[in-house]
Amino acid sequence: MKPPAATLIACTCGDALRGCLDFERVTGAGGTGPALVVRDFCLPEGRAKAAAWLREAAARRVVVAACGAPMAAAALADVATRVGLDVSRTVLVDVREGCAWVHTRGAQATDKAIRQVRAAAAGLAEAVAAPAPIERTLSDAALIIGRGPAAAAAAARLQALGSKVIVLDPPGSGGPDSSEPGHGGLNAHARVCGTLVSLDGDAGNFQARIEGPDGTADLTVGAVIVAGGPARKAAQPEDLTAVPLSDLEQGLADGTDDALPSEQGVVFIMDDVPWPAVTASTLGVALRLVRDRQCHCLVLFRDLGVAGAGLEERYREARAAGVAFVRLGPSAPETARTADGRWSVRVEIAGVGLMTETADLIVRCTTPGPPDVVGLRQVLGVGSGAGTIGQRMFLEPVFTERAGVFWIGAARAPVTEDQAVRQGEAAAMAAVLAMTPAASARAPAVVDTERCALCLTCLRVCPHHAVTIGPGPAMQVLVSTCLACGVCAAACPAGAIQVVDAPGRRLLVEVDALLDPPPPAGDGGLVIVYACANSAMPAAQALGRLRRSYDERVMLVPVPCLGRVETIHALRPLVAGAARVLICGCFDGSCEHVVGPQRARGVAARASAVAEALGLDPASIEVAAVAPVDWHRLAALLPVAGAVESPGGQGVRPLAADHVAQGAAYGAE
Amino acid sequence: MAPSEMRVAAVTPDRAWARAIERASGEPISLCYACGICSGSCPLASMMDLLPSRLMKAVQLGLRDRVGRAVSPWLCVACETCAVRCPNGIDVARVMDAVRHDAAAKRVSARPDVDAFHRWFLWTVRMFGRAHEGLLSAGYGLQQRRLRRDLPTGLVLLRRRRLALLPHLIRRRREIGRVFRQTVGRARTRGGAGG
Repeated sequence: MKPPAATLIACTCGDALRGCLDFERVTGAGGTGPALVVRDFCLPEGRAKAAAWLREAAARRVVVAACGAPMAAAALADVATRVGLDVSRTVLVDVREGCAWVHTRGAQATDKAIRQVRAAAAGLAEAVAAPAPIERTLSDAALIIGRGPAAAAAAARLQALGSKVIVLDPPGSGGPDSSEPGHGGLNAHARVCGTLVSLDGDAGNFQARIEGPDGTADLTVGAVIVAGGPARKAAQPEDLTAVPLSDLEQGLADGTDDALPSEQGVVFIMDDVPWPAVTASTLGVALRLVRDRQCHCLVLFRDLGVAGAGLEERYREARAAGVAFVRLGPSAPETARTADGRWSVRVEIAGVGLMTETADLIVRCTTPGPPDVVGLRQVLGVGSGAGTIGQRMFLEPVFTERAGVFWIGAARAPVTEDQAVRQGEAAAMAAVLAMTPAASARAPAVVDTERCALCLTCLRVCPHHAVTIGPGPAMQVLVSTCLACGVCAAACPAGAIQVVDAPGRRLLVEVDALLDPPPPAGDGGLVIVYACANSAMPAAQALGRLRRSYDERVMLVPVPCLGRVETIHALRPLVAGAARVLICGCFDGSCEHVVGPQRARGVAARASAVAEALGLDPASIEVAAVAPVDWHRLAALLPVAGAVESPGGQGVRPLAADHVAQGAAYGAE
Repeated sequence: MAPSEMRVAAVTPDRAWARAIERASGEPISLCYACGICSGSCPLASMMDLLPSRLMKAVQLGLRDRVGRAVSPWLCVACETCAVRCPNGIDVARVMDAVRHDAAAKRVSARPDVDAFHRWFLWTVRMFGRAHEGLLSAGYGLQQRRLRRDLPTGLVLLRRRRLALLPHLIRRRREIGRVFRQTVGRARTRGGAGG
C-alpha cells in the first residue's frame, strides 16, 4: 500500500538558490504531494506562511528542502509545533550546502536535490509512529548518605543548581551534629535519621525506604550520592601496650591528662598507608609532644602521604622541631619489654642498619578503615564485583554501574579534602543530569516489550549505560540517560528497539529511494556517504559554505552515529547499483557514543566479506574519520567533481591498512 | 655488610651526639627527609659505604657508632654538589666535616690514612704558611709506610721541577700561627676539634 505523499516546502533562501536549483522540477518530483516554495523559511514571515499553508493542507508528513544551518532546523521545529505536528513526522533536507552551492554543472544539483527530497519522503513514509513519550515525573531531590567534605560539597552544589537535598544520618546519631569537627554545617532541606533498607526504581525516580528509630519512611529521590557511611571503628591494636593515637590526641586537647608523656621517648608506628587525617594528627601530636613536653618522638612510617594532602608545611615543622622519621623496611618493627619496664623497638633502616630505640610509650597510628559500606552496596546494588568501585576508580570517578547512584569521598577511597570537594561537586552535577530528562532534546530509544528476547545485546552495546532490565521480562531504556544514538536499535537482533528519527529500516528505504532510478549506465554510479551528524555532516556543510565543489553523485545520508549503520546498510547500495559506500564519522575517542567508529569498522569488514562473496568489489566499502572542522580531509575523501571514479580508482581514498585490520579484528569477535 | 652481621650490630641512638653534630655543623640536619638527591649527585657515592642521604639519616637519629664505622665522611671531597641540590638547604659537606672533626677530636677514624694526610697537610701550612708537597708526602709516606711506593713519582716530579725541595716561606709567618690557634680554638668550642 502506497502511503499518502508527503508535503514539500522548498526554501529559495532569499534568491540565493534560484539560479542554482530548478524549483519547478524539485517541487514536481515524484514521491511528494503538494508543494510550497517560500523565500525564507527560517525567518518569521516564512515560518508563518509555511505554518498557515501546512494547516490549510492538513499535512501529516512534511519534507522541508532548505539549508543545513541550525536556524532551519529550529524553524522546522517551530512550524511543526505551531501546526501540532510531531517533529518525528518532519524531515529537513539540506539542498543548499548539500546541492546548490557545491554542484554547479548544469542540472546536476537539481537532480541530486530531487533524489534527496524523494529519499526523505520515502523515509518519512517508512517512519514508525513516534513512540509515545514516557510520562514520568522526575524527582528533583537527591539523597546524600554520609557526611564530610565530599557530602558538604555535593549538597552545596546541588542546592546551587536548584535541587533538593535530603541527608541520611546514621541511626543513633541523633540528627544533625554540628559540633562534630569538620562534619557540621551540612546544609539540607531535610534530614532523615535511619538506615537505607531498599532502593527501587531507576535514575530520576528512585523509591528509597529508610528504617529509622521512629518507623519506616518512603522517599522518592532522583539520585543517591554515597559520600560515606557508618564509620568503622578504628581497629584495636593487637598489643595492648600501644596507645591509640586518638587517646593521646584527646589528652593533649584537654590538657588535663597527667598520664601524658613528658620528657620521654615516644615511638609512633604507622604500619599502613594512612588517611591524610591520620598523618595530620600524628604530625600534630608529635609536634606538641616535642615542643610542649620535651619528648623524643620517632615516627615509623611506610607512607606518610603528605604530598598532595597539604601537609608539607606541617611535616617540615615537625622535622624542624626534631621529630625523627624513619621509613619502615619490609620487616615490621619489633617491640619488646625491657627490664626497667620501658620498651625497646628494633627497626631496620634501609641502607643504614638496625637500630634499637628505647621508648616509654608506643603509639599506634591506626587508620580507621573505610566507612562500612558493604551493606549499603548490597542495598544499592552496586559494586557487586569484588572491588568494582576501586578498580574503576580512575575511569569512573564518581559513577557506579547503577545510573543515578554516585559513590564519592571517603566511601570510595582515602581522599584529601580537596579531592573530596571536587568529587562532591562532580557527583552533584551528574546527579542533576540524572534528574533531568536528557532526552528532552532527542526522543529516547523505546523497547517493544513484546518483541524483546532479553538477549541483553542492548545492555552490552549501549555506550551510555542507559539500558537496564526493566520491570517485567523486558529491557528498559532510562529516559534520563539515553542520548538516542541508535546503537542499540542497530544491534538488536529482534528489532525490538525503536529510535524515532532513523531506525535501520528507514535508513534502508532512504538509501533505496536515493538510488531509484539508478543513474544512467556508464556514469560510474552513485557514492553513498553515511555521514555522522557530529563530524562528517558539519564537515560537509563547511564544504558547502565554502562552495568547494565535489562530485554530484555523492549522496550524503546523515546518521546520528556511525554505530547505527549496519552491515545491510553498507551492502544494499552496492547491490542497488551504487559505485561506492563511504562510512564517514568521528575518530576513535571523539565519538560521542564511544563505539561508533569501532562498530563501523566491524560493519565494513563484514560487509566487504559478503560483497566479495556476491561478486562485488569488497574495496568499495570504506570507513573514514574526519573532524567536524576538517573539510580539507573530507574533500580529499570525496571524488572530485567531474572525475569518473571507478572502484579502486583515485576518486575515493582507500582505507588505511590498520583500519582494515582493526575492522577485521572487530568483525571476528 | 652481610644482613646477619647487620642484625647483630643494632645500634642505640645517642641524641646528645646528634645535637652536637647539628650544632657543630650549623646545618639543620633534622630537616632532612632522606630524599636521596645528595646521594644521587655525589661523585664519590660509588666508593662510599654509607651514602650521604643515609649518613644524614644516621646522624639525625644519633646512630653514632654506625657513623663512626663509615668511611664516607673521610671520602667526601667537599665538592658541595649535595649542598647545591638539597631541597632542604642542608650543606651535607659541612655535616661530613663536622663528623670528621668529631672523630678527629677523639682520635678515631674509619680511614686513619685520610686523617693522617689531613694532619700532615695542615702541619706544612702551619710551618711555612703554605702547603709544601715534598714534606707533606715525605712525612705522610714515612708515617703510613708508603714511602717506597711514592718515591719514584716524587723523584720524577722533582726532576721536572714540579716539586720544590725547599718550602716557600711567606712573610709574617707568625700570623699563620695565630690563625691556627684561633680557628682550632673556635672549632673546639663549637663541639668539634681542629685537625
